[in-house]
Amino acid sequence: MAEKKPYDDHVPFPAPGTLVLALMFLAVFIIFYILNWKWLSMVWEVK
Amino acid sequence: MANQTSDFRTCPTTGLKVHLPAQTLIRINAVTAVVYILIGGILALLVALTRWPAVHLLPADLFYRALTAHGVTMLIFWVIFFEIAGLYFGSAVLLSTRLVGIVFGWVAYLMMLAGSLMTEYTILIGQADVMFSAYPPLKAHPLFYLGLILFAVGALIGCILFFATVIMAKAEGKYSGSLSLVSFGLAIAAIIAVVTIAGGAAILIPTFLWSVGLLSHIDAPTYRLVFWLFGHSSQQINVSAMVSIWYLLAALTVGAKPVSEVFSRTAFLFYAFFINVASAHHLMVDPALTTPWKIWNTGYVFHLAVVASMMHALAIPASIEVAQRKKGYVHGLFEWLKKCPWENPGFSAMVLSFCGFGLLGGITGVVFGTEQIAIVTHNTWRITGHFHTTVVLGTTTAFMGLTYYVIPLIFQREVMMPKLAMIQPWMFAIGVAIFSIAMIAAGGYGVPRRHWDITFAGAPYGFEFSPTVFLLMSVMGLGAIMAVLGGAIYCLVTVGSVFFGKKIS
Amino acid sequence: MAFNLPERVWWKPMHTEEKVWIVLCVIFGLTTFFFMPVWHMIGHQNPPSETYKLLPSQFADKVNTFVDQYAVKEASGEVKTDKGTPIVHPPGGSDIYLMGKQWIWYPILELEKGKTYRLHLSTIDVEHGLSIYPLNMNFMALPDYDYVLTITPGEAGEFPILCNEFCGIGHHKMVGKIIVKE
Repeated sequence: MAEKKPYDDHVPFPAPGTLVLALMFLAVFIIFYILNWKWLSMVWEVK
Repeated sequence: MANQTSDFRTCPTTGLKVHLPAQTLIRINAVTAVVYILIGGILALLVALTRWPAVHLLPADLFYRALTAHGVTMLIFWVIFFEIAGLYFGSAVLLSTRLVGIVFGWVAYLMMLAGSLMTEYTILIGQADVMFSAYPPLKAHPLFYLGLILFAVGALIGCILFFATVIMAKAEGKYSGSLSLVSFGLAIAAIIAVVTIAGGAAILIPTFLWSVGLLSHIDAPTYRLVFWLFGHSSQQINVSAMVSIWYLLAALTVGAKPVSEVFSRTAFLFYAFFINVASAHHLMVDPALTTPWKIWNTGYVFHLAVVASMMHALAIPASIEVAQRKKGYVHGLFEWLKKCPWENPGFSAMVLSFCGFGLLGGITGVVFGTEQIAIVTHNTWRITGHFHTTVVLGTTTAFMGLTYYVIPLIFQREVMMPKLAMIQPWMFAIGVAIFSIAMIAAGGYGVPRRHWDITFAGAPYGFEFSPTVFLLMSVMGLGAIMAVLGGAIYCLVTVGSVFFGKKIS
Repeated sequence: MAFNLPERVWWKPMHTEEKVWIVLCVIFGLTTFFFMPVWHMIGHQNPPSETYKLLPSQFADKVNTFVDQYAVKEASGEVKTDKGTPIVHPPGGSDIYLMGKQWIWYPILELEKGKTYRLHLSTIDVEHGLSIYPLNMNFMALPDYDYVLTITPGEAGEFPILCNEFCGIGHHKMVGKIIVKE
């Protein structure tokens, strides 16, 4: 597969494990982001 | 003169032609960097042992002095000396060309050295207990600012030599087409450095004039705004340099090759355009700035610099995975990961730096820097925890990993005590992760940064943090000791190898 | 390898997966970006931006007038203090003042739960950081700038306030308080 056109769109991404890790990272990021808004919403109102 | 072949040697490992005068400059800058991390590490231990309430080592005045010195030593001197070495390496060595203007390289080095010594001396004799940020109206001795200015101008000369070398190499036909990805990333770091140093000059020069009495007033929010263009952007130089080093270490350790050059180069380009505005996130709960200004800048312009980091987060492990799969580790999703050279300190440092920077530093940075969330994070220990996961766990660990290759490639010595070197990145990175997470958690309870005594003895109205906070602060102390030991091993192995390691001919 | 020169033609199209990842990241980046203005519309905790320029002496005058006007009096007619700092009870909805100086927060504010106040925050010497414990709400006090926080105490009790911007050798002793009554 690498011999033919390695950058071709039809060739599957050569690093499937990395894709899984990257998506896990994104999930952690989103959870931490939401949690912090939750914590913020519990303090006094200020503007 | 510079083109004489006797000025070059050929590296037996990589085949690169190494310009010997450049090699000397790389060595001296790298050694100075290691001396500064040694000093900074001793100060780190003193600071951590003081903030650990059960130990509370230093008296208040010495604590604030040590903290000022620790911040300046690590954030400015250690990383920038190392980066200047990295820039000479990334230009002259990686392009197998001569470093343009060796004399200026020495001038730059001597200015940086003199400036750093001047600033350190001023802090240590107690004339600059103002912290790294040195916000006026707190005033330090003029030599404090003058030292930083000298240092910055020296570093600027180093950056100019980098660009001159890259341009000259092309003109002399040493390479054609595009730069390698690593040199490209370092070029982005150098561009960010020029902007950063300009910001530093723009604020430190007036502040110096103010400290000697030639200016009557420094506007507080203006100082904060321009200072952070220097103070934070200097850490963005680190980011770009560190990511370049990740690519470099992935190549050196497992033979990784970027999966898609376009993808990785686009990400670097995003850094150049968007990362510097992020220094605004220091100012989210400041007066004198409008809400749209805060949102636009703290949001890195639609978070495009964050997108850039997340692109590298895919590209670097992907390049490692592809290289590993080519070696036959193709079973399942993760056999390639299991079969990585974990015993190689260059590799483990790269992975630890990568995971720590992304998973801890990056996430906390983006979230804590959000305009509104800054209300519950600003100036608390959550911030201190955040930037220790980026600058220490990320940048410093990556630089440490690279050192294990700089020693044989540039110093032509074997790495001594390989067993110690093998555990060093693990010990250092895990220690930093422990104390940083403890800091972030304690900061969530409102523990302030840069604070000598959270038991508030002697304060008019005492109150007590919850026992959880004290537990977290003890965990911080233990993590810090572990990290400092890891750092000490780094200094031991590096200095030992450089001076006493077996020579490689 | 990454440190070798790239192939002569390296600008080849990306893999679909790479494009998808970029799209995911950009969507996340846009969300985190636009959620900030959105929270200004739907949320109740937003960093204030109302600011006035004034000299430290002018701010100190305002603080003193404020303390004279609303100071809590003992039965004897004397101003009620705690460790030498006067306690001030302004009416709900009013302009209130909090001054940082090396190394106290002045005065002690006595507020009412659920009432909204315009809290003027500044300093007459170096920079200070207001940190309200245990809420962990933090705002900067800068010299020459009057920072107006429109704030509504959400619960009753005594709230210690710390300084979290280094302000000199007594920094760690700089503790004040806000009292919130039902």
